[in-house]
Amino acid sequence: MKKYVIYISLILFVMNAPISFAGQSASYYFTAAAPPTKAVAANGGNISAVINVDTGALSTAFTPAFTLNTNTGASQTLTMKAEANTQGGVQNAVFNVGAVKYVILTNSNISPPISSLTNIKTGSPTASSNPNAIAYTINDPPAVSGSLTVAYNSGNKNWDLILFHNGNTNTSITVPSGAPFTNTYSTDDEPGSYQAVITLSFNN
Amino acid sequence: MKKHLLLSAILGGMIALSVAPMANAATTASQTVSATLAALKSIVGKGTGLTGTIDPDTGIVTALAPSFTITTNTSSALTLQLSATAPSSTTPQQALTNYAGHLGTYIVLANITVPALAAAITDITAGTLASNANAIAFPFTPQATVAGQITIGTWNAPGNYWPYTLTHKGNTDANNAISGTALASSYTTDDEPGTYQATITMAFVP
Repeated sequence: MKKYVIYISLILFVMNAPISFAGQSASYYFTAAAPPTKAVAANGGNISAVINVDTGALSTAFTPAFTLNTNTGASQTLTMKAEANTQGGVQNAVFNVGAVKYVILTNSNISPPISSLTNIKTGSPTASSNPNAIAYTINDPPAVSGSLTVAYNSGNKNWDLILFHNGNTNTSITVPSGAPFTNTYSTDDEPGSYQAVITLSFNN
Repeated sequence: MKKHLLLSAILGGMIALSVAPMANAATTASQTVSATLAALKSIVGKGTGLTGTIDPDTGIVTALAPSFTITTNTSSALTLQLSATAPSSTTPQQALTNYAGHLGTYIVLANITVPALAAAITDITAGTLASNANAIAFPFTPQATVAGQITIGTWNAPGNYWPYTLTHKGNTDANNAISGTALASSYTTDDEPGTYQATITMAFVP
């Protein structure tokens, strides 16, 4: 009980102190800079499929989706990329031949050498030179009117996004079902799970 | 003054609360897309060396080569079976046999022009060789072992097949041969003119 009395007395003393020692009033303003909120989260979509062993065709389209959230309508830049694992570490999995973009899936059970991706990215691959890596068409993420613009960056082999919508904005990227890029599927592609990681990030 | 302090404290708290969730909000998110590729198991008949003639005087058959190309995308061991059937007046009968008393494997070709009885085929495959009209047995040479690619196992008498183990990624040949003189007592004047056939099958064991 004595402790409470001491604490209360101390608090009252401190609160009254300026008044006791200064006769003029003064104002204190707390200022806190509130930067724009930036949040991105995975938002479902299909991320699994089966590869036809005879043709290499993807059974179902991939449609990984994301939700962006911000508290400002001011422009903010983001990057969407796709990467795949190799014996030499994670590599950019995107390339284009003219206006058509492709993503390379690699065998997560038997990692391919980097040369498999290098061979495919030439745009005129040799079937025997890209074991355990298969390429499929990938579409640009669609723009969202009034919220999001998208542009493929042919230099960096990824997508530049500009968000200018306060609140939630949904986006996704699609790998259509169907045949693989010519000469990327062969009997050198061993059984396993072929994967790529799609990542969406705010740049700052 | 107390009011200012109190108001400021409240505002500060509100700001702190409003800012707190931001600290936990991610500015990066990823999704892993994944497609499963199973083992490729493909067998295609080469389609050549499938027709010939049987010399009516000697019972010697023109060399036949019922062969296959096996294709897979893994070097993990896969099991296959090589078997054969011959047509009869009722249902197809097992056509391969490998009895010790006759020094090797034989295949029974059965007449489709004048169908053989099923009993005529089993008469040969059982080694009885007493009554086998319109069924003739010829020497059969199955694909031998090729190191690092394909291995032939022990003849499976109950199942009437040759077992194989495939350990080669890509294309592998399975070349079989039918040639030589008919097995004694399987070719007689009871074998009428016509086309003598058998169907050779190579299959992956699931």
